[in-house]
Amino acid sequence: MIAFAPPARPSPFPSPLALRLEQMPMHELEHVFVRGVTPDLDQLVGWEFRGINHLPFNALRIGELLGIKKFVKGFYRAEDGRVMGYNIPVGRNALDGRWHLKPSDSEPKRWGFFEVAAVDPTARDNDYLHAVLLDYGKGDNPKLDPSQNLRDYLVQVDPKNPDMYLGKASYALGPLRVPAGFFILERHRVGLTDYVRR
Amino acid sequence: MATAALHEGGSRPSNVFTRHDLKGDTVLDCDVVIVGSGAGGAPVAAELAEAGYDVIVLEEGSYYQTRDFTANTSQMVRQLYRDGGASIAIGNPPIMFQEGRAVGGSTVINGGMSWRTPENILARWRDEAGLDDLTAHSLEPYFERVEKRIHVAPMDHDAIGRDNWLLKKGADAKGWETLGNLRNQAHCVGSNRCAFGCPTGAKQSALVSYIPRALHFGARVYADVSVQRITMHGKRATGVIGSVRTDDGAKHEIVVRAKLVVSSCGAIQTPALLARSGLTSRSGMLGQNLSLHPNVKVVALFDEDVSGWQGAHQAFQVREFADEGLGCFAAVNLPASIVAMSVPHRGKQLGQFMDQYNQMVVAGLLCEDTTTGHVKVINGRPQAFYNLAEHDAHNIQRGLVLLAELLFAAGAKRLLLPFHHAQELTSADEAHRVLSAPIPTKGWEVVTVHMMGTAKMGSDRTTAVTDGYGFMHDVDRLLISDASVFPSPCRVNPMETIMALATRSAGHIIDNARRYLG
Amino acid sequence: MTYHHTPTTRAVLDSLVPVICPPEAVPYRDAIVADMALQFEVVPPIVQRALGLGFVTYDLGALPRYFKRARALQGDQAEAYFHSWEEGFTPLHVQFARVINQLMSLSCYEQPAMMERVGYRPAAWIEKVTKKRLTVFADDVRKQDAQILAPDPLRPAMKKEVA
Repeated sequence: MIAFAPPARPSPFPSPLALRLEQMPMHELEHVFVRGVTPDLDQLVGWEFRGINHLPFNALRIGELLGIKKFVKGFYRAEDGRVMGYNIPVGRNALDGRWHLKPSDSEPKRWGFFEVAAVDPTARDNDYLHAVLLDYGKGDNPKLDPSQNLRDYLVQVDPKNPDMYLGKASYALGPLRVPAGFFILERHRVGLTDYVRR
Repeated sequence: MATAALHEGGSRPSNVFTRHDLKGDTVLDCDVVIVGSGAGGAPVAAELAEAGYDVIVLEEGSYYQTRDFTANTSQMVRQLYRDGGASIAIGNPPIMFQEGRAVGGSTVINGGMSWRTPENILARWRDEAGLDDLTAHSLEPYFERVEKRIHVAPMDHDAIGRDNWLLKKGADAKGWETLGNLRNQAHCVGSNRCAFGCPTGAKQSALVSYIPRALHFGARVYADVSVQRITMHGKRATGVIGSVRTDDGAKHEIVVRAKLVVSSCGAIQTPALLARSGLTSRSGMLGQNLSLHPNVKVVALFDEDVSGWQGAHQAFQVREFADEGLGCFAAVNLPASIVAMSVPHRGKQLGQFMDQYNQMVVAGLLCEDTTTGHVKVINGRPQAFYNLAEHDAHNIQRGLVLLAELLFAAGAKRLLLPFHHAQELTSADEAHRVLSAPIPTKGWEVVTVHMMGTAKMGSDRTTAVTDGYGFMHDVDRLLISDASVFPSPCRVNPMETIMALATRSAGHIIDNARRYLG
Repeated sequence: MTYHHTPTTRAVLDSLVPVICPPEAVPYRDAIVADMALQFEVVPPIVQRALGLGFVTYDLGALPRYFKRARALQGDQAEAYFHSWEEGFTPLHVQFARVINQLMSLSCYEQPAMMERVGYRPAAWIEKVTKKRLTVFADDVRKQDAQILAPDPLRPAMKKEVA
């Protein structure tokens, strides 16, 4: 993989491509997802990404109603060397408006941790071998945190564009996997390279 | 020394096992298991064995040595060809195809023509399949390596038979571009038994090149093993299960556990193996995209002694019309029994015709097909389906006119066309007249030995079965190494392309050993 | 050998030798029919069954016209009946006749006497040219054999790495 040269300053607003992906029907997003390439984890670590959820029945604006249409995901390397990630809630506003992290941009709340790793073809979650798996079950989340049942696959949409990713979410109920829509990630700002959870 | 055994009648190498050696159910472990020992499997076996990996090759056919190849044509066909050479692609017209089934695969029965993939074909593969890395430059080291290993070289002059000189004479008279064939041979002496196992050891098939090399570096070869399916753990290939029928009629299971599985069964058998294993491709292209290089032959009769059987199989190729979809014209002598089988005569007429055997030139033309067929798996067995495209039929007909012109220019007196109820031609003008109107294809006799494309490569997993190295998309540790991976027909004899891609894949495995063999 | 001609198949094939093979091959009828058994043995079982059914149909199909089975037809009658299948009531008739013609012609010219008649002597030719190769070109043959086994790793710098 070519060494990533970070842009001088990523744009704070979603790109036309991100907005186009948000508008796509599910079956087209699936097509984009299947044609994506495996993300380079080194391109993720130390960065936070603007997220846009594309939930089932997108037209009903369920994401907006639940306040989860916009979010941020960040990636870091844990002390044991694993690549991990987290979520940050974002204030509600227009889709093409700024991302305001909650409670503040400088001190956001990080929750919903997950491990990022190559998909294990022999494991239960092996639907997309070309993706990486965001496994919330390995995120050491609080016992009653419902997010620990999330299992997301992530691909880089275009091999030439390391700033845009597409995720496919599912919710684990025992051996079952309930589809939970797609999400779009776009590079937002420098995050934490090493993060020690307290 | 393995090669001495092959050429001088020594004993079977100790790491070749046949049905005589397997007494019961067997479980084997290795790093790499390769199903198929021909042009796609043998190079992978040799390269990975030399790199220090534990390699097992499973071959459905039997193990023969050079001394086992005799002048008994029908016996050789029964031993070396799947289904006695009677495999048919159903369609209009039905097309007979041949698959080798022996250690060494189809390289044991092919003519040995060795050509690099044409640059315009590679360009097509780059454009259509997103295989940016497939350039003549990037493949050069692999072509060179293969050519050295199997001794690709032009023919010795005095090994060229009269039939081929007549072909060249006709082509020269027409001013058409003719190439001396490059073949994998070390001093072929023109026994003209390429298609029935080279009895002199000159043809450097996989049997006498890559397989001995693989054995020398520690690989094991199990012959007479029919592989039923690939075993999987989730989406990771973990080995294969097969069976072997021993002399007493008992059937024993053979299980091979491996870190990497390679399917090199050819474009007809590979999709069948994958289907039996429950594997599908998101692209829907597994078993589809079958191309065949359909070819037809004519029999030309001369007033002179030709005795084409005393000289090499296909010493020249006329390439004048390759860019128009007529890949080549060639003279291909056939044994008397095969000629008799392929003409519509019988009775006294057959006898009169065959009495002129030594005055015959059998010549064929190969068409680069523009359509595709498919392979369907029925009860675990593959069945090919293919309908000759109208465009290709017209092109073949045009090619026959040109071939007739060539042969009459060389001095032919009569020409038998590959159609049922076809009249014998006595001049090029007659060829023009007879072939000026389209002839219904259902009466044509079309054959092929080049089956390609049924697990095509491509960077887009929604349109291709395998990636640019032949690894199956969405399956872990399963490599397809045979002509199934061609995105389109390759226009030339495919052996060298298969071997070069196999060598390249082996290199990729070695470079990424932790991923594929860890 | 797992395949044997049924009595019907053998009888029909016997009767077809004078129809399909040239007159000079008729003395080798038994050998030709025996060779065809070897051919039938290697075709897929479903093809064997189809052929068997074809022979039965062929044999009985002569009854309405000739009041005897095809196996008993001779001379012009045998010729005419076979020709009627070549021209075919159905494509299956045509295909069956074509396949039998092909396979019998193959077996016919596999007979040593027939090969000799047409001047095809591959065994002697193979022996002659093999000797030539191993004497005239012995050094080159040895060089190629040696090259096949000489170390020449694809990736010289790599050693085997296994987790």
